[in-house]
Amino acid sequence: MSMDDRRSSSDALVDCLADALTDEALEAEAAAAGEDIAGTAAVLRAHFLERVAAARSAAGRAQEPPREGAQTAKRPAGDDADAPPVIGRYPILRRLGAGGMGVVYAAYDEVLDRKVAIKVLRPSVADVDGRRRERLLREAQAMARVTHPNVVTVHDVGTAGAQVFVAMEFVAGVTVQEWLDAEKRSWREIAAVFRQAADGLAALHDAGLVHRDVKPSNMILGEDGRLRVLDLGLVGTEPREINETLPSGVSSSVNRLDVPLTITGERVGTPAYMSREQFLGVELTPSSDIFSLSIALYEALYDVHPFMAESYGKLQANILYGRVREPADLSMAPSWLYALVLSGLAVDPRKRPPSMHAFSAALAADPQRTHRRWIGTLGIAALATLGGGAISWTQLAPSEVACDGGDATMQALWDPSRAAAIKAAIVASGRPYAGALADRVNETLAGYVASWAAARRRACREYARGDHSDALYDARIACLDRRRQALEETLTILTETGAEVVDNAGQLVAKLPPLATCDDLTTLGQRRPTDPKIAGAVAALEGRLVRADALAHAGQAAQAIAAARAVTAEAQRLEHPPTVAAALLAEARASLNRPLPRRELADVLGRALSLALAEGLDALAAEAMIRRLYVRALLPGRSEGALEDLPLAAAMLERAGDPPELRALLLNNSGAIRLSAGDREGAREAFAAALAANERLFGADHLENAASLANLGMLTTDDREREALHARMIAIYEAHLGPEHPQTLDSRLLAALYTADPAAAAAALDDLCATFRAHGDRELARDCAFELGRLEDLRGATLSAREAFAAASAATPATSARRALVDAYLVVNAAERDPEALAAATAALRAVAAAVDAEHANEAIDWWIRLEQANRHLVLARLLLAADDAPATEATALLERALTDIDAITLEAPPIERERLLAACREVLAVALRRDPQHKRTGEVEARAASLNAAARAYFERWPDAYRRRLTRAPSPRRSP
Amino acid sequence: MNKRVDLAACADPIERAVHAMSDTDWYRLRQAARILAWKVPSMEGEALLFEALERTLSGRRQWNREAVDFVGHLVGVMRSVAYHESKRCGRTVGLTSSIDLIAPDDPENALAAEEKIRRLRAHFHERDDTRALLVLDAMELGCDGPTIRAQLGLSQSELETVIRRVRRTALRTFPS
Repeated sequence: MSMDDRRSSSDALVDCLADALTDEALEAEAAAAGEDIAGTAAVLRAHFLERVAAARSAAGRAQEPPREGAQTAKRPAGDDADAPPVIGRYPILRRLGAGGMGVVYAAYDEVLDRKVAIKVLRPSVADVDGRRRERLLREAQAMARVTHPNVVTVHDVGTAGAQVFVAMEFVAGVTVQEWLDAEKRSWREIAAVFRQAADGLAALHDAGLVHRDVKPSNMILGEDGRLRVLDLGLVGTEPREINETLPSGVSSSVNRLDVPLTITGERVGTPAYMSREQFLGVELTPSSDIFSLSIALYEALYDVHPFMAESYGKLQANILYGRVREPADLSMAPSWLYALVLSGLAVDPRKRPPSMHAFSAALAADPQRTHRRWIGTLGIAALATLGGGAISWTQLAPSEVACDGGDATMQALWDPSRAAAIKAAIVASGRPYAGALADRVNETLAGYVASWAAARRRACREYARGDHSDALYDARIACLDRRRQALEETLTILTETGAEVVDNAGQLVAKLPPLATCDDLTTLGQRRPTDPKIAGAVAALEGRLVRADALAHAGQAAQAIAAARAVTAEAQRLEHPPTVAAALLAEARASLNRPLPRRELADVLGRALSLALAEGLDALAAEAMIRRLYVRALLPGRSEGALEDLPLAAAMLERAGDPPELRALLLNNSGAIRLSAGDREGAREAFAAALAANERLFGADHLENAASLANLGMLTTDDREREALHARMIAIYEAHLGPEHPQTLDSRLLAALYTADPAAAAAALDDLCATFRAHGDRELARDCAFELGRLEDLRGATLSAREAFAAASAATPATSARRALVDAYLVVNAAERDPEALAAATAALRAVAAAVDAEHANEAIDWWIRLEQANRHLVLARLLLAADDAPATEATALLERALTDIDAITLEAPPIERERLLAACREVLAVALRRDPQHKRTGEVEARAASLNAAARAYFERWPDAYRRRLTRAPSPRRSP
Repeated sequence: MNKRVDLAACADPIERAVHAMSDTDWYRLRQAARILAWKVPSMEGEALLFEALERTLSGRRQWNREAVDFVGHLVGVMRSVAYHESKRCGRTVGLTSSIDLIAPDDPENALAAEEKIRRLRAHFHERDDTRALLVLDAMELGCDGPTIRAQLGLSQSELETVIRRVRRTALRTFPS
């Protein structure tokens, strides 16, 4: 591509406009502008000829043999070739560079035997009367009065022909701009360098000067590490009279500093670094330099211009109206420094730091450093006093901070193309519900993105208003940044593995950490500073933990656990206990979603808890404690201990500032622990409180509430209330995941199972089973068919039961423990008695029941395992009773055991399920007792059998329509009940 | 060829050319410099003009005397300097920093000219000066005079009238 091809349309237009006009047209143009063509031509011609003469002289001199000792003889060719041989008394060594204001040369001071830099200021055509030249002379002389380590030393000021020159200290080094461009600098390095600049400028201000062109390229960092403020050409005096005498060495002939200098009305400076006052052309004070230095400092810290805009005009408008752009990443510098920079950028000069000295002092007053230095000897009150000095202008920040950094951050993460990519990934799974799910997932993500940006804006504005302290702001931004990371990981997982995690996609986005927490200033914990040497590595590990959590929420538990364990290992190598603790906790969170041995899980959480306590990480310790209690409660015989320790967890939560998400977790786990300990009412109250906490945290319709509603519904004894809770649960799942998502359908299965009216429950199940089959969801179809079969079996609907069990059997693997039970149900519901089938089913079920007993021989058994085992014993007894030659003794024992088991879980198991099984067991036991040869038909046995029958009947009679067949059928000792 | 000889040799033709320039030529140069400096908002037109001269005197830009007169040469050098300064990605060093007024690695320089053109257009829009707007459009496409005249059906004097109007507005609105 040629250069012309790359030229923009504006280039072409400007070039066209600059093209020659006819002489007549030019004359008309000059006349219209009131300009004198001849005068302009005379000045330009004179300057041109002067330059041409100088060039010819240089060319001639260059051909002469070098003078002894003069370094000019060694001038290289190229750019240096046009350098004049001598300026004033200084032989020129080489040209250093040139710009709009003039040319700079390296030269040699033969008198003082030192190298100097000579700046030759260009004459201006507009300077017809020489006033500008005079002004430049006076300004350069003013600079010469300033002696400060951070101001370049002016040795001499004079004229050479029509040109003004300034001889100054030659500094070998790089400009601050080059220093910044060379590599990434830490905020501490930047603050230290800018403090030197502030000190140099303060010295200028003390001398009554205003620099007026403060920018990174006007500060040079010498090889000695010392910064000097440069570019004297624009330096102007403050609008007051200056009468100090010049230092020796400055030509007295051009000493005109006793004349008051005013440049009001003339716009000088560099637009990108100019203050509002400079743009307005009003009198400049040192505050203008503070503004310019703050722009440069902001740019150095955040790598972006504070007033950056897409056009020059908008840049100017942003400066004029004080529209400060918020940096995308505030973490690049501490908040106190951000506050200082903002104060320097205040629109009203009176609201900026009162002097450059104050600005410099504030730059050096890093409150964190003060904090660290004094933490061992002073109390908190003293710290607040020490740190206060640095932020005293926080409240004086610009009134109109844009606070749009968060929007830019989110725009980089989330746009229509990202949403489309996520939808494509989810749809690629081929699931029938994928399209609807993808839309809902994207809707949730878009909402989160908007809320995050709003929270970020809120934090920025409240801080700019001075509503809260630096520490709180840091904590708030860190909180939001962790949520941004979680969002980023979630988007990555969805985009890259959407098809794999499709079933958990809804949960994944719903599990994005709540943003309300970051607005809760009373609970935001201050993150502890990390050793700067390992801060980067620690931050990287924290990012990996965010990903581990996201993977766990996406259902990728194994990957999540592996990721967390890798972080644990690396954090141990770094010897950073807080990250080890966090990684252990992340591993435990991921493990809760898979059947990890509970003792091992309790151990992982115990290690996390110990480390967190030792490190004083209150929130982390509280979460580890809460989760560990839950795991402990599920260990055999440990629920009482867990229950006793609940107040400890509550106290730890208080100590951590009672973060709402942990409060909700504690309430939920407290419900589970109470339920495990048999306290159904206590559990119900805890689940109700957990639901309320979640609603406060997430809002009423958040997906997270669905699980709480399920828990609460299972414990509610009032049928109507339960129905309402479950209806709400289903509505939430449908809204978030779509009506056909497995989770939604599963919630409907749960609601059906907890429908007290058996007829209604059977109808709901029948409908659901058909849906599951239609969707090809084998697992849900199998469970549904099994539950439907059991219900129909209990209702005496043998044919329906048989159909359901046949479907369940077909979908259940032969190796599954459930298969033996399903097949046994099929046999007892068979139309005709088949001795071989009876024997086979009996043997299979007996083996499974024995295996389950053996597996849980030495531990307390969870209620659902006991319930299933009681079910096996019931069906096994029915198989035995159905066999003509089977003794009833074993059946009686099995049923007595079943009743004992059911009795043992009275407080834990769902009443509906337990009552149904109880009624069935009682009815069959009555039959068994009457047939048991060991129990002679005594009055006592008969009375018990009658009592059992009555109790069973009493249950069936609660739903006479549903159990019509059961109620109208006389129990037969020979038939399967 | 020895560079020193070059320097010595080139000064005289330039000097002669400088002496030969009419007042209107100087004014033409100054006005062209003022407009071209739009591309580098930090730079005054005169600074651009002197920069063009410096480069010519130093031999960095050779004046092809056979092909173009000195005024045309200087306008060409100014155009090139303005273009490169506006697109430059590096930073100038130390004391010669007056050029890099706006961060050179951002589009501010180019946008400065665009912003001025936008305002120029707005000016003619407000006055419903369609002809000026059409000429501006044609200029953006880089059309030369004959092409513009042919496309817009303008006579030479009509085109010059429009260009004068545009330049007058431009120079009055954005003096440099």
